[in-house]
Amino acid sequence: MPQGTQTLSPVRRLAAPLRYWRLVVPTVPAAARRVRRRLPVPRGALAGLILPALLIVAWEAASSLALVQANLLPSPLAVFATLYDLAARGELAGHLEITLLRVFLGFVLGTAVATVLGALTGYSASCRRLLDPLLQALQNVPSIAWVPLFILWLGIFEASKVTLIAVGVFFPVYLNLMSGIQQVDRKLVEVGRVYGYTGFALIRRVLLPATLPAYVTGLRGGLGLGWMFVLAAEFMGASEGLGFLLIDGEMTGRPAVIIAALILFALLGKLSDIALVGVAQRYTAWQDSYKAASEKSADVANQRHFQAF
Amino acid sequence: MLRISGISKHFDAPRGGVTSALDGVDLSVGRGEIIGIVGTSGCGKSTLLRIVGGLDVPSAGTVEIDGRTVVGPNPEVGFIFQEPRLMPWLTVRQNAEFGLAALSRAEREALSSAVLARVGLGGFADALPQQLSGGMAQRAAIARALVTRPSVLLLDEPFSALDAFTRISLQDHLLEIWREDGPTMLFVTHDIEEALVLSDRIEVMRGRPGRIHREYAVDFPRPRRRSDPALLAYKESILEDLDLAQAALVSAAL
Repeated sequence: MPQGTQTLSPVRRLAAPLRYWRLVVPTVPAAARRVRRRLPVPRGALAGLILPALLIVAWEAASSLALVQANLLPSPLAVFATLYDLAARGELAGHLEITLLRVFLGFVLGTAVATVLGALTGYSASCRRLLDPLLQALQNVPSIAWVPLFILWLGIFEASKVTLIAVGVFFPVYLNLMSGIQQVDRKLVEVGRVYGYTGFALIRRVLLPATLPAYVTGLRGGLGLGWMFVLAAEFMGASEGLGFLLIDGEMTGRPAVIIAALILFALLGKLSDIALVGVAQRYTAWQDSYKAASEKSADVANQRHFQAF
Repeated sequence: MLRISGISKHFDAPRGGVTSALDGVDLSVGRGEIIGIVGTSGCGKSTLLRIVGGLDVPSAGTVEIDGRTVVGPNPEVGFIFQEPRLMPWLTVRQNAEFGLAALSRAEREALSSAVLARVGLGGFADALPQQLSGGMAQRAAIARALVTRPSVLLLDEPFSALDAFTRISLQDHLLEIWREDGPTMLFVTHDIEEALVLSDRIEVMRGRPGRIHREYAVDFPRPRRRSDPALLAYKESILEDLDLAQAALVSAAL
């Protein structure tokens, strides 16, 4: 036994670890600050730029050394020149605008319907038995299969495109919200009951905040699918938009245009996800395993990609 | 005054048929009394507590608090669970204020500041539950239950998940709170020593369905020393009630 402890009274000796433990636990404001500082993106985002930058350098080197055929894979400079050209002629803004608008409207519409239905099937077992089998069956219809029907019903203009995107957004949001509500800790709900919360108050104070992380996962998956489905929508006869640009590049044999459109898709998809996560983080930062949750959502999105096409 | 009369509880078994958790439990508890309920696992002691708290509905019998029959959760009754069960998205202060939704913001803050200071969490009001140790989280849960000034406090193995040091300090803390507020307390524990240190009376439950097997009046003055030989004699007797005396001997020998 270390010498110092022998002089302590038994009570003191019992209490010693407690006092020690108070010293060890950091003062919370500092701990809270540390947690918050770790969350924002820049550090990881910068690391994420390294590989694309290296790829572009290698690609440019391969092009300038004529290791690849320029009519199949134009150099990065040529792609950027094409982008600049499109922008300068004012074409690019129009394409971007309409594609963003379609994704946005489809996302809002799909999310709205999914939120209502997901909440219903999550909270009410009878709604789930009634609705869920049908919705899960519809989920298995490949996205392209909806196209003829939507064109027939809604025409070839915006309504059919936005609806198609909404269908894509719907499923991840719906599924995650429903299972999120079902997985809310029954013990927390019980605490709500002990303190007299019932009905809507119980939903607002306990069920809703507890479900939020799963909901955000669904929103991210939905947004990812929105970007997939906008392409399908624009393939089916658009005269504007990134998908049209892609088709146009193919028809007119301009690989630089195709690659430019691909890059824009990648950028917009990533940026919209960052924006969504940025907004959501304010409400889900309490979560112990936020990192794990956001990685899981990427898996969900990937899984859906394969199912969609 | 808390009166439990003829409480029975049956559950539908998953494969049809019925299992009984409690059978005809009667118990009267005076205002400000501390009752410890000990028993082997599966004897329905937690179920009894949940019925008193209005979380479960008895199959037969009634619970009355000050002459009013319990039909559901009720602001007169505070419940402290085995786990802290804090809302992870709320700060410690917001958790402490969870039962005060009807009050104004200023009133809530005044009450929560006072209660957090009492349980020694004054400096942690803005922490999130994930930043707390187990003992601190359980204190926050105690603060949440105390802040509404319940006349009856139900505790379901409140300290069983904590280490021995934290448990002893929280037991002392609970007695301090009891001296100041004087709530009637009904607590379930599997720690006989804990029951002996805290209770005015100990109810030993056993059997399936569970019944009250025996009652001990523990009329020693507080504070009680955990190593008091008289308390240890009670412990021996309670272990015998639960057919555990032999097992305790073996584990002491090991």
